Amino acid sequence: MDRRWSGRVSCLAMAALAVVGCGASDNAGQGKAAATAVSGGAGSETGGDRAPRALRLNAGGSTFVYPLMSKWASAYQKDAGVEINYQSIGSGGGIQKMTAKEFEFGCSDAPLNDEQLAKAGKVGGDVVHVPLAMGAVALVYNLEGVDKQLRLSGQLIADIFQRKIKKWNDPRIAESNSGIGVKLPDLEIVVVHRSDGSGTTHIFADFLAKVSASWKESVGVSTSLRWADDTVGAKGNEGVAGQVRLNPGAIGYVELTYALQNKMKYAAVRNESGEFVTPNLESVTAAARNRIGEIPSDLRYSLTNAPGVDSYPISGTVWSVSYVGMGGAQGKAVADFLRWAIREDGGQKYCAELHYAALPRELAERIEPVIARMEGSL
Amino acid sequence: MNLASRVTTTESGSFQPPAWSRFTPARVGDGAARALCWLAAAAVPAIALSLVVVLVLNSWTAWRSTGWSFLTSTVWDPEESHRQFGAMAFVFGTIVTSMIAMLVAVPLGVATAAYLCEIAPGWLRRPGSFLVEMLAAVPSVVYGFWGMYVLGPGLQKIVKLVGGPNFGGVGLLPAGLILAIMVLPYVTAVSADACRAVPVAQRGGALALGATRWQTIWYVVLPYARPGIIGACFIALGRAVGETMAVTMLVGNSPSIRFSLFAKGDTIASAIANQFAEATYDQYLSSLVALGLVLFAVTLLINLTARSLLRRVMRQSDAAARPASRRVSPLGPADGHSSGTPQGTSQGTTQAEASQQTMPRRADVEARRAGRELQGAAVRARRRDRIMSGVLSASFLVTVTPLFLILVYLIREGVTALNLDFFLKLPKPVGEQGGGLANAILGSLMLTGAAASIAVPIGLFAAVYLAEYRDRYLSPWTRLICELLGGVPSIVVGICAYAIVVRSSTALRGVPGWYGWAGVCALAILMIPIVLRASEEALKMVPDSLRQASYALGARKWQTLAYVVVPAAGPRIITAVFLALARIIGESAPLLLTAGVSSFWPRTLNDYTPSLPVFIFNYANSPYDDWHRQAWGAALVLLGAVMILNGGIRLIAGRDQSKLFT
Repeated sequence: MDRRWSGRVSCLAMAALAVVGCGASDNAGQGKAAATAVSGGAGSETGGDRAPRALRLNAGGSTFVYPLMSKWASAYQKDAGVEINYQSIGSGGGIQKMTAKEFEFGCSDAPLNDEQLAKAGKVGGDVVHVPLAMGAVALVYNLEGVDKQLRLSGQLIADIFQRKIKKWNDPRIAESNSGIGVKLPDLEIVVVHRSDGSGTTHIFADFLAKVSASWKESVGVSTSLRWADDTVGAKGNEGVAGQVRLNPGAIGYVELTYALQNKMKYAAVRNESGEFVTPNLESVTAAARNRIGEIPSDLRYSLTNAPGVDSYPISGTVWSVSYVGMGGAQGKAVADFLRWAIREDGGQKYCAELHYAALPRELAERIEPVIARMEGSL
Repeated sequence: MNLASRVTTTESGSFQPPAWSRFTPARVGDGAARALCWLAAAAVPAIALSLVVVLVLNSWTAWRSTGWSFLTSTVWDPEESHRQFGAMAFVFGTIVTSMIAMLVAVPLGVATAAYLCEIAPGWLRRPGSFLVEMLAAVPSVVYGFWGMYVLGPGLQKIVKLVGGPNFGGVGLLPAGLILAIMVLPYVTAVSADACRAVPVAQRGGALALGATRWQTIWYVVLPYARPGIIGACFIALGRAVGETMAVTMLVGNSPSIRFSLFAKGDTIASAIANQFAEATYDQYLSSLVALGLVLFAVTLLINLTARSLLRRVMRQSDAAARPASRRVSPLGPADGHSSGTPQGTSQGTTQAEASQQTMPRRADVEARRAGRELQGAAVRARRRDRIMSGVLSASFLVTVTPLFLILVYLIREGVTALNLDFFLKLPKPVGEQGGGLANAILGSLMLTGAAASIAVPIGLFAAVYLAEYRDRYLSPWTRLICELLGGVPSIVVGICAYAIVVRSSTALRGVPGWYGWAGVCALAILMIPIVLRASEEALKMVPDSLRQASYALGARKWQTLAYVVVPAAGPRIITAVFLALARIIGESAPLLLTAGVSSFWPRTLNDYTPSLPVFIFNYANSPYDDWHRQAWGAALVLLGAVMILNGGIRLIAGRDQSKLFT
């Protein structure tokens, strides 16, 4: 060993040099990131009071409204200079993180239930629901060679999603579509549903529970459900649409925008009057119009299975949920944004291009005082 | 293996510096250095303990309300009026996917290891091992993405061709297969180490007896390396069980127990990733943490088993290596087989050997017949040798094929997304074309940079403590817990980091926050074991003569450590840091739970911080072609970064370094 001693020393010197060299370059890399972090930290201490730093709101939840919300976020940043970081994590997540005050406001397609309101009451006080837009839950499917729009009744959908009907050429599906002259393939149905807590699921299940006794009894209505065996769970509206696109024979439920943006086929669904109705702006607006008289003062309501021949039965609303009297710059910014969002010349003008139904005027009028209450000025 | 003796001479303190002064700064430095290193070494068990405490505390509601039936019930029904939580379906999915992975990966991996150690030509051995290691470096989310769009649909097409059902390209089988690809490098690398640990005399003995290469591998090398190979399997199993992202993208996310290859299922890790952020009431959230605790316990058990097995094989090979090397020369070839193969494989002598032995005692005629038989046996053995060599080479090819498939696909799909906008612009609103992922790139740099600046000091100082200070109480614990910490699934670390950091923010500032820091904390916890273990090895490699020389010059211990020992181990430590960085830069599961996403520039780690892996996950799951393209581009960038960190550094530093002190 000792014979190579001198060689080792020179190696050592080289090694030391290498350490210094690499250390320096490594530090440089980290230093840059750290510097960014530190300067950012200093900025956030002073919040939005400083002119150059835009105020940033944390929001998230519903994936149903994500396409609209991300459009709003970019438009509102240009209009008002406020950044809204909307995380599309599912309505359940929106409710949970809003309750925990991680988000300044959450978005959900299902209103908070009484238990959630009670829990929020303990953490941060009263919660207000502000309807933002309305939309349709479309039943999208991936069937090559079937060009005509399929017609499905609620009971049929319930049975497909409970795996009681397993093939596309099942006689009951054929019977429901006998009028349109379509030949359904001998193909296994791949059922795709949400794997995360979802307001879209809530709307969907709420409708099915109203039309199918077996669904109401064994599955129920919630943002998270226990699905039948041998079904595919996917994360978010994005994930369900992605899975359905990927799999021949698949059926799933997504917000209408996801279906249209991706040129997917979707079914007409039978409504309360026995008509098969295609999801679109008119049929959702019709559902809203036919239900508007029944909306309670806390603005928690359901649009599913609405009466009227032209109502699309699986319609839903997206609410923003937030605490009353947040105060400060953040509270004011949330209130300002919500006011902008429900204005016809504000957020609502983007609804149509993304296939959401705008809020009916009479509902918007009822929302104003709710926002004022949230801001704490009423 | 004379490391042990080297270390003991240092540790026995025979080279303590002279105590010629009491209160010089140099002397104070000794105490400070020791205290610093002790703190770092004590931090490792403290971190592990806090993980356990957090998991137990946060799952308390679930255990109290559900009781033991949580483990046995098959019903997972979070519907608000039902509220039934049973882990069995997830446990089933976890077991089945892991078993499929092991069934595929173990034979392939062992065969690949045997090929690389025994058959491959010299020029192929190092690049071959390198390719296998690259396979281990591909981030989980990239595997998932590729599995979702290539492996799953491909499998579906094949199944349909042979008349199988329309299973959707997702489920237990695709998830198991992607897991197999992911754990293959672990099986291969650790098995190859075990094969290399087989003494040369063992192989020499078998070959001298006329055994073919295949016979040597089958009857000598593999049996000798068996405990090590089993250890490798357990390490791989630990990985498979805790793997999250790739599985969640392929398993179907449908908790049910069905015994069919095409069934969909769900695993524990995937359930946590999907549902953790969205649990809307306490019992639900608590049940998810309880799932995390179950996963933690299972991986702990698997890793403890792996560790004890590997310990045994290390001791065995140490013990066997020394006497064998001394004894080998006087041994005649005739009694070679009786001492050659250990542990019940002595009956595994080949026909050729047996007939060779009996030959001198038989009559002439019989001898001639035996000779013919022998020839026949030799021909058969040679034929089998050729076939099996072919099989082993094929295994190697099959093992590295996915790497090339993934690379080709990534490059083909990703290159078009990589323009200037991709690196400089923010993401566009949903469904609009264009935009980039500049914020995610910066966010990833911030997260990994901050994680490294926490993990490297802790890992390095703890390693110095383990290697250079004698502590009978703390060191063995730190070493054991460090190894176990390295096996904790990243999703479990994510839960804990979220619970600790975000909740501390609530407690200290009244509002939740520090999401970025929670992600940093999770990444640092994942990084510490890698840095610590590799640094300790590096420090042990530093020859004692350097320490002696330093002391002889009058240096104190801390001076010796700071100016001689650590710099000498420097290149290896830096390599280790880069390897650790390569591992965590692709981590997505813990970031999904902690740092979240943001479509704006990250300003501070107090806020939600975007990162490339999470963006890949979100974009991959979306239905938009433009987002897919960007996700492929992001995956390409991520993989490039990992490869540079992993391979480039090794190619540059590895060659010089290996010659440094050997």
